[in-house]
Amino acid sequence: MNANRPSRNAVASLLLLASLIASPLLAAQEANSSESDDELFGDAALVTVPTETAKDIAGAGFETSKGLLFGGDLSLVQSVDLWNGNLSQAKGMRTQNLGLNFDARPSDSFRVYGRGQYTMTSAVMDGTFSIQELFADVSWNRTVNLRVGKQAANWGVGYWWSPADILSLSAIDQSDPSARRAGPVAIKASMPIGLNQASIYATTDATDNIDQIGLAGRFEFVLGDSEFGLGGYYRRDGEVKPRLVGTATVKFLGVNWYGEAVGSFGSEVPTVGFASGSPVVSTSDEFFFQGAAGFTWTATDQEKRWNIVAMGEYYFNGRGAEDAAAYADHRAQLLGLVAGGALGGSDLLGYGRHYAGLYASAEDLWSSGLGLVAEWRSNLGEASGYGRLVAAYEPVADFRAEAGGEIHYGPDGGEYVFMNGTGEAGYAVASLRLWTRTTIDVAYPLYGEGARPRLTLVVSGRF
Amino acid sequence: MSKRSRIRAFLFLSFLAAFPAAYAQTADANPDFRKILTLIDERSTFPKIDFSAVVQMKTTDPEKGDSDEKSAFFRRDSLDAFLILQLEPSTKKGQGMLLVSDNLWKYDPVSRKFSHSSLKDNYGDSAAKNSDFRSSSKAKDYKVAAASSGALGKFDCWILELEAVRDDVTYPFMKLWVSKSDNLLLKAEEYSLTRRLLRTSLFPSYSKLADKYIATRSIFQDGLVAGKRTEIIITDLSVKALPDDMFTKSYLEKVGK
Amino acid sequence: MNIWKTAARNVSRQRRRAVLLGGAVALGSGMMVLVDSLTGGMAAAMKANVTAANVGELYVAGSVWRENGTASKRLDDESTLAAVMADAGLKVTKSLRKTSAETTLVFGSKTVRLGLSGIPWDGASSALGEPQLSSGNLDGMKDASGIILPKDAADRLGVKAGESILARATTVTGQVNVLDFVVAGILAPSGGDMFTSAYARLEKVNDLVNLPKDGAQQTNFYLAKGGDLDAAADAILAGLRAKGAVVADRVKTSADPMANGGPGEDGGLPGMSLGLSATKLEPWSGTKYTISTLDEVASQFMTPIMSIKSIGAIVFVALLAICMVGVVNTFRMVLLERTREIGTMRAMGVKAREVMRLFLAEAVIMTGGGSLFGMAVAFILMPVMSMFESAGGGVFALFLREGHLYFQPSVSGALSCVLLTIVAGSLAALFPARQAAALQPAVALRGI
Repeated sequence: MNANRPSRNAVASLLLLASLIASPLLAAQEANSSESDDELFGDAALVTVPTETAKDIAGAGFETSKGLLFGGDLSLVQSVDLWNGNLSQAKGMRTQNLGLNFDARPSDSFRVYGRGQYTMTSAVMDGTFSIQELFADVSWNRTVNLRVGKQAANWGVGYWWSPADILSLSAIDQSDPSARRAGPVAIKASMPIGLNQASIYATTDATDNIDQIGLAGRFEFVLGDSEFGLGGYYRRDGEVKPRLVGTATVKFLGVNWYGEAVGSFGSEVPTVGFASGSPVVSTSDEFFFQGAAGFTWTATDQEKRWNIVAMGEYYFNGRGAEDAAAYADHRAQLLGLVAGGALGGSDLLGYGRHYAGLYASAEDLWSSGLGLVAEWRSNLGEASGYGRLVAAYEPVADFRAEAGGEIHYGPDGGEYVFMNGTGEAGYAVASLRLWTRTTIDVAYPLYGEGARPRLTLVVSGRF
Repeated sequence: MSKRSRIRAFLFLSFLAAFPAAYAQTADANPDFRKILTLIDERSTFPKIDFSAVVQMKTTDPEKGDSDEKSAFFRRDSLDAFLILQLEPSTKKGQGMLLVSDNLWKYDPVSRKFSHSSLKDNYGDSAAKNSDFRSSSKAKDYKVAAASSGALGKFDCWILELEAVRDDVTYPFMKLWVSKSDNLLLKAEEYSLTRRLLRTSLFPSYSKLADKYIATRSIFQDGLVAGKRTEIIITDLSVKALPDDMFTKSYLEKVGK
Repeated sequence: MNIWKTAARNVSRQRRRAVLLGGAVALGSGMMVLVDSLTGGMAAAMKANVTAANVGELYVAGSVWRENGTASKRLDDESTLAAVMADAGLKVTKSLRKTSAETTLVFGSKTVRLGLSGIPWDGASSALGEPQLSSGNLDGMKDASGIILPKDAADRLGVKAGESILARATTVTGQVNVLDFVVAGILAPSGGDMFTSAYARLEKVNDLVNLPKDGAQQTNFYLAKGGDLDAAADAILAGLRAKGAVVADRVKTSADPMANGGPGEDGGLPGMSLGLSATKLEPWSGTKYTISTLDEVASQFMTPIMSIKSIGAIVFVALLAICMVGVVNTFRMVLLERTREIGTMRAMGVKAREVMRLFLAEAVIMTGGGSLFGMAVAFILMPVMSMFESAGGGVFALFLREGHLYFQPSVSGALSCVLLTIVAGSLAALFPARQAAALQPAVALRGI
């Protein structure tokens, strides 16, 4: 949802913030709009000899921090639909994430970062807390970088579907593809070789058994103006099957294209067979292929009157169900398997063979913050899908309202029908969605020169 | 900052870093103006070394709206590489981009994802023009048509009126205010062939660094478009060698929030 | 047994399935037809716009070598060209001398980047004829400083006829220059194509780019209808060379730019190209002539069109493949459901071949019907989409006709799209159809 939105008028958001927290920022904006030559050249000290501060810029707020930084972020999606045009069927969806993070960079070769998240879906108190990231960075001689701990690891280049993203613990949330996703507990060693980069991962679920350690390696390299990545994964106990991964981003015909290819020697994700009439859950050791390919095309008017984004992606899932309609036809039984623990809830998503998505938007028309978005995604095998056509209004960055229509179509029990909370195909004529992401940063100087207990509050502009 | 305006900003910076530098010299009662121009020129090509600065660019544009952005720029000429890390507006703090020849990497600190794209065929999208890349030589391109003594604020200046000696010099006429004490360029006016004022540039403060003078505050007023003004403030200047790992993807990841 | 009737009944029996599959086919075909017609229309509109903006279809431009190693655009020796044109015996209906400049127009605090064409004006008349003006009148062009602006540019500047604007441009040698113009008229948005060029007097534009008042950068020609542009260009080239003039080799492109896909690497939109030429020029003496035709100029704008077309084709092929999978799945289900029915048919003397034909006919009805439906929707959408007036001018205006999307459906394209889907659908149905045909009546009747 937020990946390719146009940049927002920074001053507008600053002004709004300033008025909200009643800071002197407003006054600062007004200063020195026009000075006469006499004023400009009124100071006799024309030349100053600065002390060189390259190290400091490199460090200031980037490589080192003078204290422990705390941050918080809140993201909120609230949507109301007039489902099937019927008020009595209005469905409201709400997700709220409250994140807390800390960041300490006592030296340019050491950093500790952690982020926990409290996720609420329906009721405020009905939430779960999870650690999203908790890692330490150690760099050796600015050549080899180690990251130890729970960390996000995003290998993919796909937008909605990314089979090459083998280390992330969850699939992309298609309604918010750029959202944070948790990664594994791992030790990662990476080394840049010019513009290319080699990384090795040792990942684990538990540390008491060496067989449970997965080893992954990846090499990203640049050829001309294209970038390629090759990688692989191996785990001795075979709980997670070995796989080979390739990614590419290439410019062709003025369009940026991307592709992913994954060959897996078996699947640890259960598939369901229906040959006998009732579902049978199994995993497989057979080799299968997954691939995704897509494009991103953007155009911006020189006079900032529009900003157009077009994207498309096709995803082939070799592990997907051969009989495309079977999952939809047996939805009730499958839900029973989930309830019984034989299947995970996420196993009921992405079970098809062929998927496709298209996205087109024209945003920030005439710098007004108004835009139009059309999007379509589908499980093509069972012909279920989701489409929306909405008008969007984003007056400041990360505060967004969308209103329009959306449709979930397909056979009863189909993937995209099921995804829509009510479990039935239908349309919403008036769909309203509010979307914000706010972050708050607090710095508490614990160490470093002249560290005194001092609290600095910065409400950064993501409101 | 949109991709385009960032590209414009860094091209502008690389152009700027080269422009208003001057050579300090004790004031002379009868200065050789050509020599002053040569001295200004001599310092006008920035050497092929590492360079870093914090650059704030405030733009007032009645048509396209105002903007105020601050970024840390790191340049390595030998690699054709730029690293730009955004400092302000705070919404974008920590967002960075790495540009190495035609490759552009952006790192999204939220999803911890790199996106790579090619800039080939995109340069035309930016407002940068050929002339921004072309180095100009005041001593070679212009002759001093008139010189007078005057004051600019508290500074005694030579006011030099220049005329291009060839017909392929971008600005056919120029008027320069050069401080008598340091031979620093304080103000420049550029004129069209029909002698219409195109742009006024003001350089009210300089930093001296490794024998070079770099304008740390520059104001550019458009002579044709009423109310259009760009101000660039450069701080934390340095020509110290930058670490090699700075122009890599892992560095973007390292400094990202 | 009437196979088609039975097949149609069978299809309507499984309405949901037919609608789903047909819908997917309809989506693919409809999109393909839409994209095909759109790109065709874009190419046609673009060619018309290029002709209008360049005022001509065949262009002979000159450049003069300069000591500093660059070339400046000017046609110094026009007598040689005139002699060659007379000798070549070409049916030229109209010719005009032209100088153009890439300008930034300034009015108050507003700016617009726009091409400015200087063409000869005799009082208030010119090669533009009697263009429809939304305000002002051509009499204003009697003034040496008169300028005619496209409506879009005038709106963006907020300027009215009679007001003064500034034009900033670069001279042929690379100096910045600024001149005042007075807006004589503003072209009506519907008056002709929405070309993005302003018009002024040749001598004034020569002043702006610092050419002699009676000079020009190029001469444009319109050939009599049906004239072969390519052959004419070749004839002029040969004629000029015969007279010992320096002529640049022609970069031949196909007369139909759709056929060759445009010059991949050097594409780009107007006002977006840097004009950096990689090839190093060898010096020459006198005027060097460059001859180009409308098709050649148009072909450089084909890249975005080809991008859209290729994305559309890839999506179509993907959808087609997916539909084929859908057809296979559907008919396998059909086979399971109708085993008993097929057995009965076979027992009643229907031949195996006819059972197979029945299956294939159903596939043809579903895919063909879906494809035709998709196409019908596309043909309904086309006029609807072209009703909306495009937002502003700029780059996109080049591909629009009078500011609207323009669709040029091709019958062969649409037909081949339908045929392709039917063939693909039948191929996919072939395997289950053969299975159905192979069912033994007795076995089938025993039930599953």
